Amino acid sequence: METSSMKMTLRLLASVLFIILAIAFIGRSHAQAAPLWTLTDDSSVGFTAEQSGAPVPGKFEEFSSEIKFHPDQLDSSSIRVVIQTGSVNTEDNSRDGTIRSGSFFDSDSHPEATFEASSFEKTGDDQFVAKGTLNLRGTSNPLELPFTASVENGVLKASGSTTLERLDYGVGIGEWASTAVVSNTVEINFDIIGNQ
Amino acid sequence: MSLKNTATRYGSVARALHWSMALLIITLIAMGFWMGTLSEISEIIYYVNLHKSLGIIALFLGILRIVWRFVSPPPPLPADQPAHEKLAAHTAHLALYLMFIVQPAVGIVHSWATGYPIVFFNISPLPALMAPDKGLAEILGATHFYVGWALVFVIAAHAAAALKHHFIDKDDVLLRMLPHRAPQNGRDE
Repeated sequence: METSSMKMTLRLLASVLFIILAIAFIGRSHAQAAPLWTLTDDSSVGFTAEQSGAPVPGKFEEFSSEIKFHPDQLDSSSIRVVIQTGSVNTEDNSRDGTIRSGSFFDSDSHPEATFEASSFEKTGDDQFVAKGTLNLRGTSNPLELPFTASVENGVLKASGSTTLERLDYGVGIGEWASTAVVSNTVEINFDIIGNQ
Repeated sequence: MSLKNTATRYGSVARALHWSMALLIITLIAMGFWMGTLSEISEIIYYVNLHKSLGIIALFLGILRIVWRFVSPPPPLPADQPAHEKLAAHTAHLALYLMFIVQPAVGIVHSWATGYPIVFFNISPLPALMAPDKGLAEILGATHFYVGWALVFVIAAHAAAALKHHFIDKDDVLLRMLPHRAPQNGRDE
């Protein structure tokens, strides 16, 4: 009697354990669906502003990212990009200094700009829109970022651009609140290559 | 009054080009050095762009002037002038003509390299034919500065030589470039 009841208990425990492991395994496989990408050095995040109607391109030398994305697994995809605003490079020291200053990014007080999105929509072949939030100079606004993305041979290639109004983020203080010289509309863009 | 140069004096086109460019280039050089003292970037953008706009006009006049020099060659230097003085004069003129083109050209490419557009009198931006490049911008900025100083020296030598002709040699080399000179012995057309 003792032995058969122990056998039953063990069998029950084993079954419960199996079910727990099975659920955990299925859950895990779902969580892994959108892989995490490590970006190559060729990846870039930048912008194009306009001065007096002429384009002035720039990029950020330093940014970090946590990109979980797969075209077939949008539900579990998420991106978070943290840009060091002080790393702005427009190929001119005095302009970069002005952009870092309190007039624009105020990089001393707001060293980071962050874009986060966990909602994605497929709009066409390899075409997506990330619906997220951009925090710049301490101000957060919703931002929709259209992009193209594809995964081939374990390599993610994605690029996209959108425009924002810099004054919505308080970027442009004093005389720079005027858009006479520097346009209010600024294009932001990215071009990334990621390995798993 | 002749549009073209004659054997003894400059015509009205050459004189108009000479004096308008003199005024423009001296203004541009003075402005160039003065702009170096500005610290407000919005002021820098405004005045540097004005300098660029005037520089474009100087380039245009410089090209016109070189073309005109072939259309209507200048009157020769006095026959009794020593050969080394003639050589010095021709060298200075050649240097000036060269800098009429080189200095604005360097300025334009420098603008492209810095990524600050050339907005002709704030009317419309001229297209940039290259992407900004900090390293190139530094080289071109320094070049523009030193060519500016070279212009100062050659213009000073040119003006000093013209005054020497007038006050020491007492010939008509300066007078023939001045306006409103009465015809001499009917030699003027």
